[in-house]
Amino acid sequence: MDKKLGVYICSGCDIGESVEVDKLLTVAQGEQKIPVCIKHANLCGAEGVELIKKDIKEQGVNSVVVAACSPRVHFDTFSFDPTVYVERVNLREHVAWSHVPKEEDTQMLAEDYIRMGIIRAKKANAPKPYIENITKTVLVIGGGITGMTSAIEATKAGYKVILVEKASVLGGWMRRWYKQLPQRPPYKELQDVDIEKTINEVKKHPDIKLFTSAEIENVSGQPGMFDVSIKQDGKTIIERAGSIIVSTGWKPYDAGKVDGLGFGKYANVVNNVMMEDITVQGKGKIKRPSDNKDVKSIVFVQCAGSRDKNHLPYCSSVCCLTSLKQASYVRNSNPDAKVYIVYKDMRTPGQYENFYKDKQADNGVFLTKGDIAGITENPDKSLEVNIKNTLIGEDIRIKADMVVLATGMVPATDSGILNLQYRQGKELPMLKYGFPDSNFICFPYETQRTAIYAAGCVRQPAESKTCKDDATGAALKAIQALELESIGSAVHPRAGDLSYPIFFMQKCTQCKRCTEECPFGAIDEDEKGSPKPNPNRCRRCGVCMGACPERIVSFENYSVDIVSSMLKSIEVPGEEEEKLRILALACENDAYPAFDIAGINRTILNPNIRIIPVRCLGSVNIVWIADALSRGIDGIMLMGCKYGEDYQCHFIKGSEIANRRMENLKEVLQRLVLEPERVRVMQLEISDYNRLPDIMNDFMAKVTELGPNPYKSF
Amino acid sequence: MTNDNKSVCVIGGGISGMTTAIEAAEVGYEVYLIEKSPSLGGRVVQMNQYFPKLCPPQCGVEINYKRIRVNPKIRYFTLAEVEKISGTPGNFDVTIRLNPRYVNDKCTACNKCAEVCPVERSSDYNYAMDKTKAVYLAHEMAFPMKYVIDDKVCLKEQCAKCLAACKYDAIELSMKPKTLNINVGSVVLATGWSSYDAAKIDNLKYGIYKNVVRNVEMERLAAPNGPTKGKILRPSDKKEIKSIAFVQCAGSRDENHLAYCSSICCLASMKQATYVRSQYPDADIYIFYIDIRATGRFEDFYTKVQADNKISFIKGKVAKITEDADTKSLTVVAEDILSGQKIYKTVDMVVLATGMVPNGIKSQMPADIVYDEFGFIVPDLQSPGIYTAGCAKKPADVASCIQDATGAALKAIQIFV
Amino acid sequence: MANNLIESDIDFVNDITKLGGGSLKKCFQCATCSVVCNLSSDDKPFPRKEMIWAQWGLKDKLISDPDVWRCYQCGDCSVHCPRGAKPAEVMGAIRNYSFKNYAFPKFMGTALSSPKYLPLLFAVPVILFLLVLAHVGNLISVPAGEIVFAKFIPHLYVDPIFISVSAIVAGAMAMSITKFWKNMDTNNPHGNHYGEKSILQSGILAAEEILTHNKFKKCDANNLRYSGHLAIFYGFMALFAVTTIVFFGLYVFGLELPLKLTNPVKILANIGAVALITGCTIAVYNRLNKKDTSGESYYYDWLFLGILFIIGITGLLAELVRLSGNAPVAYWTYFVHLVFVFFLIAYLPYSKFAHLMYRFVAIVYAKYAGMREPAEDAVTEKTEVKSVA
Repeated sequence: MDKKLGVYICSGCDIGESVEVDKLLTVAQGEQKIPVCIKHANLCGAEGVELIKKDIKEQGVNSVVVAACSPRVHFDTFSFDPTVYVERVNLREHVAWSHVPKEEDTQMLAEDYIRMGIIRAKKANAPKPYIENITKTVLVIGGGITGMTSAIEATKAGYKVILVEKASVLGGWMRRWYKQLPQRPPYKELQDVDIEKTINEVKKHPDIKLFTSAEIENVSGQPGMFDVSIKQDGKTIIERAGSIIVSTGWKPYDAGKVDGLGFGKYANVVNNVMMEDITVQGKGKIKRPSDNKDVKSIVFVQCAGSRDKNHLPYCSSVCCLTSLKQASYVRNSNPDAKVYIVYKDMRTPGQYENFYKDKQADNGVFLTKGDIAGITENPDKSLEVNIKNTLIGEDIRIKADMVVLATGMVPATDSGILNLQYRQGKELPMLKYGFPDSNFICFPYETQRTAIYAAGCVRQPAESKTCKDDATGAALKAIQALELESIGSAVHPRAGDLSYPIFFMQKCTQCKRCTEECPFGAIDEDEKGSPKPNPNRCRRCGVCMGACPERIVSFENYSVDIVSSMLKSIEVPGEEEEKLRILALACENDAYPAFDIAGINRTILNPNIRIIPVRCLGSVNIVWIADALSRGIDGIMLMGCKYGEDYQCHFIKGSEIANRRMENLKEVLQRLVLEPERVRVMQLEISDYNRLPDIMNDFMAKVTELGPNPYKSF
Repeated sequence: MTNDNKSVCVIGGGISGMTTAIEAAEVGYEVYLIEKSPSLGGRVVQMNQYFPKLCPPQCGVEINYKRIRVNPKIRYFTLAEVEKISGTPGNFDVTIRLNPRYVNDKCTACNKCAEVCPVERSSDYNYAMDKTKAVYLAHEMAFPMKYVIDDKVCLKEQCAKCLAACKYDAIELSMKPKTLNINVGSVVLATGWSSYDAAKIDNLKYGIYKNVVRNVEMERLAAPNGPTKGKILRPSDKKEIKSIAFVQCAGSRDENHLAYCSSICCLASMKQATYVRSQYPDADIYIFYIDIRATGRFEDFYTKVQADNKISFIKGKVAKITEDADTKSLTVVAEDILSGQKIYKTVDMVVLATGMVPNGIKSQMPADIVYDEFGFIVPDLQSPGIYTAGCAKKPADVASCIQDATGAALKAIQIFV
Repeated sequence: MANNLIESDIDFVNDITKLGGGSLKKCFQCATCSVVCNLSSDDKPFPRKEMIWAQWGLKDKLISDPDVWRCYQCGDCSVHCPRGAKPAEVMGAIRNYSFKNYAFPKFMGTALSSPKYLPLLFAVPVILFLLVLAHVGNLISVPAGEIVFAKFIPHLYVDPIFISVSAIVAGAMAMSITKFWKNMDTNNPHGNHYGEKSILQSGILAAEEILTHNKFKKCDANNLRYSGHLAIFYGFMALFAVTTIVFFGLYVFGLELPLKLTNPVKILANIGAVALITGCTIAVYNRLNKKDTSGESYYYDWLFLGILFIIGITGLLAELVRLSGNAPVAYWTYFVHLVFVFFLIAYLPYSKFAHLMYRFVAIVYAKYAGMREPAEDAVTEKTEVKSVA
């Protein structure tokens, strides 16, 4: 279908007072030869919108350029028939509200934005989705409380589940517990472990296909169409699944690695898991392992390995609650028994403070903060625990029949779980300490592998109540991924985006940059090294597009050519005019809105800077830099998210990759006798809007110092 | 129970409510999101940074706003309160009161009204630490980006200056409350929390000594769009600070106030200590605590903050604060328990780590809502079709709330199967 | 390793629980108590440390801790305690425990610790005085004529009884105090810094502190308690003084009894009695109505308060009835009065009355051993403590 553009320029909200709208019309009409060009004083008003609608209907306009306010507002006002492409030119926030009115520079800025908008509208198309026939089945790996909860919750929403458990029985650790923590108010009394009920529900469930004593051999394919090879009883079974929940749980930390605690050395030093076993075996009667004698005194050592940089640097979250629970076991077993708990900080958050209070109230339970200086064994196999830095006011020694080490949780990720047949590794990438968690506070299910989610203790140490909530959340994401994939949409954070990268393979040189740099492992390689894209794994960030030296990757509405053409449309004044031109390629989620907020605050910004929003800094292709510089643009700012350990980029490494690419670019620039300082990568947060004038002026000063781009005159 | 209308009503447009709404809508269900204030976003948009990454909440909020923008399945109502819910699971009738904004959809947020408005009101966004006009924008990222008139202070027709100033006919001073009735299959309560009224803690002198502030106010003092434009200045004389004390468990873990642990205050104070540290590298920072509760990988953040030699952690609760009448400096007193010595620290400013009070729900419900002794909603004990998300059910950090809200979305859509 | 071997004594914890410290296990060691307490010093302040010792059943530490007796149970700590652990009551319970613990002979401590021995304890003076009455022939009918109590129970009998009882009591007290002092000397958590003051100087300072009630006055939470105690204390001291004066007056100067109402000594006696009764009334009111600050009251509290109250009332009543001329009532009221006075004096070292001596001794010790006093309205930076968290 031929494109017919309509350009609609609003003069409301100070735009008319800031720039000469008629001149903008001239740019659109005269220079860009747009047939339909209209100005209006209140484009978002009913009359203005009607005007556009009428042109769509009567004039056949199918690409609308709305030059008015930011696309962040009036998004619904300016959305028409889905076949009509809408391009928003931000004349209000980025021009009128943030620049000195009626100045030549402001006018030039507005004109450039009009040009860029028109070019983009000319070149971009509404995307047609990539849709495959997908399977709406969720694969859950791990049959503990988390996995079973995920499975049941997903079926309740109408989805089929495949549940794979390594052990011969379901139930995980919880099946071994003597009692569980209170699950509801008043959060005081221990509750019976009711996991058998859940196990039976899973076993009998018609929508859950259960594999016990089974492991995942490998997973290939892509979301919606994963081929899962399951190994059970020496046989391999292939199942198809659409999304995956990893809930393989945890293992207790090997307390034997912690010096001085005597674990594995002294018979009566056990860990908290063994303590459950001992209690279950004695049916509530606690006997010490060495001689089966009644336990009259016991010391619980908290943080045995946890919160220790040499062992587990993190807090295992549940051990304080567990020890309080087990203190109850001991006191119920023998009303004369003395229970000592030595902690670093007593951590019983939220309503579990009630549990602490209740268990502490027992006259036979003695608590203190303290550091364990060592545990020694007496000839009668009793133990002596030396404790420093207590609340008692002195270092103390306690004689005990038994010691329970409150060992922490280690995520069960050390041996392979998924064996993904991905170019970029077989498992979910780990965030830290073996936890395949999301890096995002706002989006705890934003994993690095599309449609694969971690839940429960494999993701973070947690008690069962939290695990169940987490399992439910992960189940939602797993089924949501299926629904989104089924309509060809990206998943979070670009949910609703129907575009996807298209590879023009004829020109591919097998350089492998795209397959290496894709943050989500979406692109595999064939034997020759040609990329094999898996659109359902893709998050649509465009990193592959930025990586490709041959410019073979593009989206319908976002491509190397589109942005190149946009920046080439910027009018670059000749050297004699002494007007510098700076290009800012800005992350559309953080940097771009920061400029909006600066506008809302009426912050005056430098008028020589032209902003082009990009999906991610990782999608910036070096060609753009080259094109801009050869056009005579004097400097380029790349504004992306923070990178490093606490990275904020939702495409993991976008700004980091951009930074690396620019490092490589330096050499090229030097060859061209261009100063590398003309290109600056900066990390910008959305909240940095107050800093924008300084940031821009600082760069401007640098570029002024370097002088105009020598390529201007060419 | 069979109803073609597969929609969910989410009450509360904070981070939990927004999440539940968006997650359910992205599965494909219709959602009504009801928020009582003029903008979506809730408490998180009043925060300066999130712990432990020290990243701006606006970043995630912007993504969520965008997800709402592009998703036609979400209908949101601000200045809206649920008055009554009746019916049965799968078929609830929800009566919503739409309070007048006095500004209609024609508003372009051009600010002309506020320029001429002669009346000021104290800003609730900034916890009354500064003022806005009677017609105002909730904050720079307000969603929807529409002004609102505070009818408690607006002079209405007597003044009407804004009416004349608005070029777009957006001011409607005679706007009346409206009622909206919707039918939904399930309801999610995400009514969130409020900061504890620290004035009730008599020995900590909040509201009496000017330089004693709550942690929520400290967030505003550090935020670039706060009353001091992000510069932490002490309230009494707007001076820079050289020392500061954080008082943990100000009301929380206290039977006289909030008997539960608010879970997040330790981390919040550590985070705020980093604010002070980055603005005043030489300032002395003291954190007085009972137990530092940094569960899971939050421990890393504790380790990092603890390694800072300008930040001292003192085990012992501050139970006494005195003020120097001339300098307005404050002396906090605690027992440093590990050394068994009383410790007196004279500081420029004191931040009370006040806890979270659940807002609960005031609407008329089809069945009684079950609360625990603290006022948190007990999710497992509600009647079918009613679910809870976020801090309405337990005090929690943002990530936990979102995790929980995602789960609540699943619960809410299960009824349609 | 030289660390102290700690043995928690659950029985001790149970005892403290029964003696009024039922809330002690709620404490989570935030030290609010130590800070809000106006009597607590900066160095090793109480009652936070006493709370964990009590929770852990560390009896030896507590019974030899002078700080237990530097607490006046004004309730500031209990009011502010975030956990409802009521440190003030726990401190009271530890003192109650000490009465029993330091009792000499031991069985007397037990006898005063529970109401079941109460009839036996009363039987002693009742039988004793009934025997006297029987001996002098006043058991069936009271003496005629002007009401003079000495006619009913002559000094010849009363005085030797009280003198010998006092002597025995003094001996028992000496035993208890010696043990108490020794314990403090070995276990003082503050460490000893002798040499600043002599025992005599310390004694004078301690007496001054007690006479002026200057520490007790610092209580914020319950000022009424201070007033009540002050009235009882001075009422009692007045009556004690009167008794002493009269005793010497009688034997040295041949004073004639009963004294005239205008006699300064008599005036002092009456003022004392009224003060005692008023104080007791305030105390009872406090205990019944201000439980949030005063805390719950236990057997030790009620027994002591009851005895004092009845002594005050019977004393005053005996005088009034005597003046009204109703001989039988007057005489028998006097009888009751004597029984209660006997109870008070004879059982002094084992009842709550003993707090007078333990507190005095503890304060003397504290001053002698150089223990820090509470900071006067401390607002300045006094201690620079860099804490290791």
